Amino acid sequence: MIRYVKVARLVTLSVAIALLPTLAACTNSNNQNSASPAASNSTPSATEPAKEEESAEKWNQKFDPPVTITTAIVDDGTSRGNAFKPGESMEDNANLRWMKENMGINVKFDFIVTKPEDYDTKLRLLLSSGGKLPDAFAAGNDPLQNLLAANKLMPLDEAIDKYAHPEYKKLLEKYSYALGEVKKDGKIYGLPAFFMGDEGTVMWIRKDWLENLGLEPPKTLDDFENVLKQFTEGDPDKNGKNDTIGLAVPLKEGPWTWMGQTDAIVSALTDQMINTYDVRLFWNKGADGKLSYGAIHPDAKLYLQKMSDWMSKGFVDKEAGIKDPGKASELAASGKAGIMFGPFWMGDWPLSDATKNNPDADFQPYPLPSGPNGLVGRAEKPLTQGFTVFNKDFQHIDAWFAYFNKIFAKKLEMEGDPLADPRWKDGYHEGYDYVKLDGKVIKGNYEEAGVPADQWPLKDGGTMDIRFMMTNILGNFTSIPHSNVAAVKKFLADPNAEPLTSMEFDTKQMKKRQLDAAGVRINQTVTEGKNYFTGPMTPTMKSKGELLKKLATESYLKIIYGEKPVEYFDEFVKQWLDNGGQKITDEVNEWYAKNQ
Amino acid sequence: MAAYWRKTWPFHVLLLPALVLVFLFQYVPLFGAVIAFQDYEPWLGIKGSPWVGFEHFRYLFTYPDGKQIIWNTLIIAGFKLIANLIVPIVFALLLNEVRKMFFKRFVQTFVYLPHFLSWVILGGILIDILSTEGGIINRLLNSFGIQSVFFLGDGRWFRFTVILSDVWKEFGFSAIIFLATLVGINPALYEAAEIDGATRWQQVKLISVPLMMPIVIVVATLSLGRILDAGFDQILNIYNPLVYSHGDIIDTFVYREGLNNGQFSFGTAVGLFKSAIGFILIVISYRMAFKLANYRIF
Repeated sequence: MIRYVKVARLVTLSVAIALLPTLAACTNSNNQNSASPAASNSTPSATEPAKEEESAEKWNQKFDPPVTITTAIVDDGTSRGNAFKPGESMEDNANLRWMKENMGINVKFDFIVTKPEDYDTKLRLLLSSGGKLPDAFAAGNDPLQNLLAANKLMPLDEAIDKYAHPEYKKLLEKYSYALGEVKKDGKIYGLPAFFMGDEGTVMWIRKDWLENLGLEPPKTLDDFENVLKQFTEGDPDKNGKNDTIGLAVPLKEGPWTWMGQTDAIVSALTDQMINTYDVRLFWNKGADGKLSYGAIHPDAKLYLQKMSDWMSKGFVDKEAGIKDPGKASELAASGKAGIMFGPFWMGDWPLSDATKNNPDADFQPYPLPSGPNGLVGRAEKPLTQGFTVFNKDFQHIDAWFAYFNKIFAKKLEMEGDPLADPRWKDGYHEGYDYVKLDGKVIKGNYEEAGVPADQWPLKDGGTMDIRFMMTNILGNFTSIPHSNVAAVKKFLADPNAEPLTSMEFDTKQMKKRQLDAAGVRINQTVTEGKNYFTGPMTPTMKSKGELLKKLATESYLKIIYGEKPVEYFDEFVKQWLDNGGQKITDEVNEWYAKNQ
Repeated sequence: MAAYWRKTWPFHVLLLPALVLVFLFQYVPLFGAVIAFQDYEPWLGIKGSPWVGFEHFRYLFTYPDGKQIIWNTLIIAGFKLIANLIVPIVFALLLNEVRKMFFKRFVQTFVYLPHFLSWVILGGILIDILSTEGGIINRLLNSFGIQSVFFLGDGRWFRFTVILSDVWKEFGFSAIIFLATLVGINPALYEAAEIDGATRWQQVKLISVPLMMPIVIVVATLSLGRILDAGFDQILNIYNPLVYSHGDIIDTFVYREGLNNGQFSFGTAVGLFKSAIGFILIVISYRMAFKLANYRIF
């Protein structure tokens, strides 16, 4: 679970670093309470016909009498950046006023806390005191399971069928395998917020080091090993000192983590996905249709053998075992290590720090190497980042969906979508996430674009991150998985292309290295190893999960560090199975048989 | 009696809010400890959760790693307790002998600075200075011809590193109370000793140390109550799978097991167990202090 917190943080961070300016820019709205009422009225919205033809214009739902939806949210005030204008807040802002005026929805926050831990505590307190839960709110992990067990949540199948955006329904079907946590007795109790799913591993290598040594980017695992060797022994930084190593890698959390992970090495050697730091990951599907835990599959020995070999030769960071991803990346950033695996966003933080320290340092993304049997691949990061759930006494889920569909349609940007609100054509709210100048939509760099200072959303000319304002009753601000592929391709082909959609605005904000890396990932079509178990923690996972995680991570490291021979793996597997692993395997398969 | 009350009632009124607060926030929550004997679920509450007796305590002791974890805790906490007592006392005695006021103040301030850094920060710093490649400590060892030591990744060294780094962080701060005691000793005693021809060493041995004993006993007694606290913040920030076998302690175990998995009853059971042991040890050591040193707090 720490891992999840980390992942969540990382995602926030990555979003913050990589997508933030973009997302900020993509939120558009056109309700203007102050800036320019004329602009909003000039869009084809028109409130009057809407009243008459409510059924005809699906996007224009207004509730009369107005409905009130209660919710709750985490708002830490500091890390969210430019989320609100001075004088506005989570509880009083342009979007809330817009919703009230145009949709007849009043939003009320039952509680706003500053930390996710406090949020969970609040939910638990509400549960134990029997207090009234908010109508719609985000929940995950343990509190989510508590809510489910306590029968406090509304089953959503009917509402989804009746109200949800057709494309969202398709997504739910497509990624149904990722929704095990919110399924109970064949019904679905929560709506997922998806990740973009674009964080698959690429290989980052110091291009200048390759050139110094006259090496080609490695295509196979053998090439890769040779590059490691040369980077370690061949003085790639030409400083006359033996002070470099090949691979910067965090092994404190096992083969799979949020940055610096070695899933690519695993995938070059076997089709199994391996993680030791969480008993919920990775459960691979065997030929017999049964699920098995990757970390105890005999193929893992191939990985351990390789890593142990590289460790003993000094090709990888000798202190990898005590480092988490952030700490491990310092080695790459300080110019001591030449290779690190990880997501596309590493092109900015942490790897651009290497260039800051040494202008010659040039980390570039490369396709993953293939193994001796031609295997190549990576792990698929779990696709959901949390769920939105509903109080079982909530009366106005139609109103909730009316708002959700609008946001979803805006993200989808599909031609001729009857649910797309024309008032949000250019953005969410003019004067917030965009301004109009001579009919042109501008979403950033207002000063350069020649926008007069009095029309800038913020006094300093910066962009606003409007996601926080738009989220309110949604619980989470979902992405549509893999929806940025076309935009990435467009800007790879022509970096100066004009962004047309919000997604393209976002994508254009990426740093060049990030964009390149995203392209490398997209262009290398390999299978991404899925985790087939997405259910809630089983009883034995709860009671024995930590023990097994400790056992697995410890055993892996002991083998990699050569404290135990590779043969020790068999003993480890036996221990793992005897200490609850077998029972967990049975429980997982029982779950899978039911939820397949 | 009536006259007494008439005179002192304002003081009692002034005391009342504090008493109420202590009752509300220290004593009332004690009843929450019953969830240690239940299978507590938030939505069932204390009243509705099923009773399981000593199940959670049994779990701690029959857990495959249970013995190892308790043993690690005792070793680390025990050595910390001793070292954190002896080092500050010796340091205070030495510093007390320094006559240059400026130097004394400077050293005192300097050594207690680490106390104010959190382990989150110090953990990162430790990883750097103890690094086997280019860390200050290992470079120093290398210059004496000693091989690099993987302090944080080698089980044999990990406990030592934990104890030493904790002493390094805390000794300056712990020394303050001993220094204050030393300053409080009547100078006439030293003057008399000097006239009788006592050396510095004899003065320390026969005046400073005996007069410090009561406070040493208080500090030791109080810290005995925390014998099962081996330093959660510290270990959580520097331990890793390579040293689980030597460095995993009760608190880190409960953190992973109880909090991460939402096992509140189990966490409470361990907390209760620790408090009970601490309570018993305090009572015993207080009795002993009274018997051996004729010392009493009340």
